[in-house]
Order: sequence, then structure tokens, then C-alpha cells
Amino acid sequence: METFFKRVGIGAIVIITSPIWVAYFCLYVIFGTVLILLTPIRFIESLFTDKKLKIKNHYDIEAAAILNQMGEGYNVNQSSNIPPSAGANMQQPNYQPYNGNSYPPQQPPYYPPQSGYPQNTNTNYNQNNAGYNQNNYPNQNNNGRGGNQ
Amino acid sequence: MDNLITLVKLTESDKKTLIALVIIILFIVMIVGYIQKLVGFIMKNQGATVDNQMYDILRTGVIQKKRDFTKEARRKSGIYFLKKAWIPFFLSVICIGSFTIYVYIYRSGDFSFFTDSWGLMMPNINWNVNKFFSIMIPTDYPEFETYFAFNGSRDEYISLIFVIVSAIPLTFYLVECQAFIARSMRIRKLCSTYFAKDVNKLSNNHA
Repeated sequence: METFFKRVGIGAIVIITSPIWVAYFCLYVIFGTVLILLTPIRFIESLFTDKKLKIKNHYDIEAAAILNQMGEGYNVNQSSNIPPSAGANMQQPNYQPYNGNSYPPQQPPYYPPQSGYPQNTNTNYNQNNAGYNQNNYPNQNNNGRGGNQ
Repeated sequence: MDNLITLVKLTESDKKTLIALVIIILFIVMIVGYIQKLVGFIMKNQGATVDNQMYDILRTGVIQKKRDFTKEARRKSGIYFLKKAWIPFFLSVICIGSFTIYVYIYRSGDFSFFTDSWGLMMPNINWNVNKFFSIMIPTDYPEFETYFAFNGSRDEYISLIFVIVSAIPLTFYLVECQAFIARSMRIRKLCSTYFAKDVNKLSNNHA
């Protein structure tokens, strides 16, 4: 019953405000007609200027370039210690760009590279890095220093 | 005061008729409400074109200002309208233009045959109306003086074909105009939501 009266109320409002809607619609029809009639002039103008009558413009080209870059290895340029081949197999992060209104700006998530070196799975180290003595990197001995030293 | 006395004097039959009338009016208003719901649903789908066109640009952060967004979205919407609407528009113009030229050449600019033909083809309904609170309202079922009649004359054929052929592209054009309005409304809504300075977002980010 509540839905019925709600719908009746909306219908009554629509009927009362219908002249406004009809006038608004007619204005848009006239505007659209003028837009179509002016198209040849705009087309001729576009031949001599940079304003092309195409849906995609330089914004879309920039966006496509950025997306292409993200797709081919977005994280490659984030850190210099990641080998270039590492980014090829990465999944594209779900990155929401900073729109200028929220603070702090959202940063793209960092995905570690799938390197050939063994990962440090020992999470039981204490604050003094007592457990951090594995050979995870080349030229590194057990005391955490480089092998050449 | 006389009207109130009239109400009191209503018989049971009149009161039942009055209740039936109110129910019919409520039903019609409800149908209008559901039509509004349908139109809203269609316009929502039509407005989604803006999202498709602007998604990559906003996602990559190429546009970061509200003004640039509005300008670019309106430009895209306008060109999309042109691409979709020019064919129905010119078909409508050709139909109406052809008919007008025909009337001016063969009928000396007299359009009365068109209205006369439709007057003959459509049913002639006689409503029994009466005054009720200073408003003339139907008080009985309508009487059909004439029903739908198609005599097959040349004027009727021309009138019928013109209306059918013109109505199809014109309907498509009006639907595209509606889509244009829907996209404009969607652009305005996105301006007020995507670029809104919402303090709640700050609290969520710091939470």
C-alpha cells in the first residue's frame, strides 16, 4: 500500500510538473536541431583548425598512453632495483588515480617482483634482526655484509 | 454552500460513481508514476554513455579539474548526439519536406485534405458531459458516432503513409534527444559526486 501511494504521489508530481518537463524537452530538441544544422560549419572549421569533430581527442590519447604504460609494466619505473623482465608477468594493479580532492592521494599498490632469488619467509625475527641472517641476496654472507668485504 | 448541499443530497448510486471515479483517477496517476519510473530507467542507461566515454580519462587522472571534465564530457556528448541523430533527423526532414512540396505543387498549399482524411479515418466519439463543481466531466460511457473507417481514397493513403513514414525517424530523433538530456544530467551528477569535496573521505582515509 505504501508503494502504491508513493507511486501515485510521484505520478501526481509528474503530472503537475509536466509542462516544465515538456518545455525542457522541447528546448533540447531545438538545441539538437541547431547543433545538427551547424555541423557543416563546424566541420569546415575543423578542416582548418585543431578542433576535430571526433569523440576521442588528446585527452583520450594521453589516457591510452598511460594505460598502455601501466599494462606493459607499470611498476618497472617505480623502482630501479627491479629487473625490466620482472614487470612483464605482473598483474596490472587496480590503481585509482588521485583526483585532486582527497588527501592523502591514493598510491598504487606495490607488488614485489617475481625474482629468482629465494624469498625471506622467516618472520620470527625480533627487533634486533636476530633472524635476519639468511643468504637472500648475492654477495651477502651470514653476517649481513657483502661477500667482498 | 450550495455545493456542500449538493454533496449531502447525493444518492448512494452517485456516491458509488464518485468513488469509482476517484479510483480510476488514482489508477491513471499511478500508471503515470510507473511511466516515470520506466523513463528514469531508460535515461539512466542512456546516461551511462558518459561513464564509458570518460572512464579512462578520469581513471588515469588526465583530467583533474571539474571545469575541464564538464567541457570535455559535453563536447563528447554533443558529437555522439550528432553521430546518432543526423540520419533520423534528415530522414524526418526529407519526409516532411517531400509532403510539403507535394501539397504546394498538387494542392496549391491547402493542407485541409490531410485533416479531413484523418477526421474521417478516426472514430467520432460523443461524450456525455455534465457540470460537476464547475468542471465539465464525463458522466456516462461515450457513444461512438462513427468507428475507424478507411475508405481507400487517395487522400487517405497519402495522409496515412506520410504519418507512418515520418513518425518512425522522428521517434528515433526524439529518443536521441532524450539520450542527450540524459547524458547532460549524468554529467551534472558526476560533477557533483566525483569532484565533490567530501570531508568523510578524509576521515575514511585516515581511519
